[in-house]
Amino acid sequence: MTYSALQFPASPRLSAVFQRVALPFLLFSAVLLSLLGLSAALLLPQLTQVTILGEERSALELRASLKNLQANVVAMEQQRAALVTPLHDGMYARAKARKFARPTFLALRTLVLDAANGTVPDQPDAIRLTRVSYTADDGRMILDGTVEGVGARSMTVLAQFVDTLKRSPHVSELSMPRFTRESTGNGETVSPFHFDFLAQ
Amino acid sequence: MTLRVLLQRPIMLIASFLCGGVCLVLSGMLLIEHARVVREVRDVSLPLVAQITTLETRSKVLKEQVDLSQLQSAVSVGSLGEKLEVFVFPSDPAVDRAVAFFDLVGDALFAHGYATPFEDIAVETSPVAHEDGLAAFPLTLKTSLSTEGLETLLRMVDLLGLLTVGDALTSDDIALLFLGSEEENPAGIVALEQFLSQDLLRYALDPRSTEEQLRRSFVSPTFSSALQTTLQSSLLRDARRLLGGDLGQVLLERNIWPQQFLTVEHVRLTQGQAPGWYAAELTVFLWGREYTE
Repeated sequence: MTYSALQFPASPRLSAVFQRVALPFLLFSAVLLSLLGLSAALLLPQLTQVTILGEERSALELRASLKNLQANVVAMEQQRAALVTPLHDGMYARAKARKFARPTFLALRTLVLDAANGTVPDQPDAIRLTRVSYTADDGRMILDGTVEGVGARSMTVLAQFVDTLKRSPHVSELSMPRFTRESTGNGETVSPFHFDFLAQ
Repeated sequence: MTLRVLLQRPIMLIASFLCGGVCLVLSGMLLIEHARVVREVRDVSLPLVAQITTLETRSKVLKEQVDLSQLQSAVSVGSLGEKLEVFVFPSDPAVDRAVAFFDLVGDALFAHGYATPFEDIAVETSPVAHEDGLAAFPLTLKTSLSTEGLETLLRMVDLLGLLTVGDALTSDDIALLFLGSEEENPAGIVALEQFLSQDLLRYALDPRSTEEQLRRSFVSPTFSSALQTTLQSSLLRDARRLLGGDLGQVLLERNIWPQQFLTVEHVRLTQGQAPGWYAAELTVFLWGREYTE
């Protein structure tokens, strides 16, 4: 007997190891799969149940339930609106929507007057509008008038007025007026103007 | 032959390892599925419970309101549809009614010192625009008026073509009232329906009784506040102010309300001799149904 044979018994062959492990490995895997299968089939649905208004529901189906409910509520809201306000859609409603979607002359006039009064706060009548014209179809507003009573600053005041309007979110495509200075018969300096813009 | 002996055969050994491996892989997949379900329930589904509870309750309330509304609707739809066809969108422009209306408004403005009597009203009998099955007939009027007169006239034109209180409200206003009714008294939908379908002129002439009728069904401060917001909407406020007096009474007596649907198309103001007065030219479109053979 050699030294090595005495100290280190012969290691088992690899195939013998596999033969020993095969059955426990198979049993363990099968049992684990069975338990997890049972859990998925029986335990998981039980654990994921929620009670909503006294009714048991699967938590996994809540998203679909919510979607259905939302669609149902929207449909019923429409049905109620159709019954309570029967003219809420159709030709009449569309005509009303078109009518009230347009900027109104009164609102635009207020916008222009506020801009005019704000340009020379201490002299609110410095910018005098002699003619205001508005066409709703294209939203174009045409302004005619004069800047007066501010002496040689009249062109500057006109530029400030135009700039204030241009910066308004309700105004677009503003055509710049000609900046001119004229003397009236009584020696006063005025700046007549004519320009237009589109209302938004 | 025992199992252990069987497993000594190489093929059986390989088969058992393969089966065990497959079982292990399937177990792993099931474990991942368990984890996914638990995570989904925790992160996604449970937060939905509150939403679903609210929606379920709302759905029941809406069902009740729809059932109640169905009982009420048949009569009002018929009469509103008829008014719409005869007065608001007639097949021929109702020139006589429109001229009578502007004549009355002109007199009222003159009586208040807001305008001179309307000098010139011209109506074209051929349509100049077509849209969505409707044809537009222009009506142009010329007058001299003050700033107050201009505001009154244009705000009045905004009201023309509106039939009911509901027509003078925006869809947001109506949604606010619906929500209030759902929260406080779902059965009050009938009173709300009556309020919304009330003739605009009759409401303007006697707003208090119409509003009181609605308030009897809804007493909560929340609904009162929603109603108050709605009543302050610009068109309803204008209707009470402009149609609530003598003018409204005359319109009712002479049967020139409701009016044809109008839109303001062109306004031209030229500064007049007196401060705050203007020479005004106003063109409105009278909209009627397009004639089809």
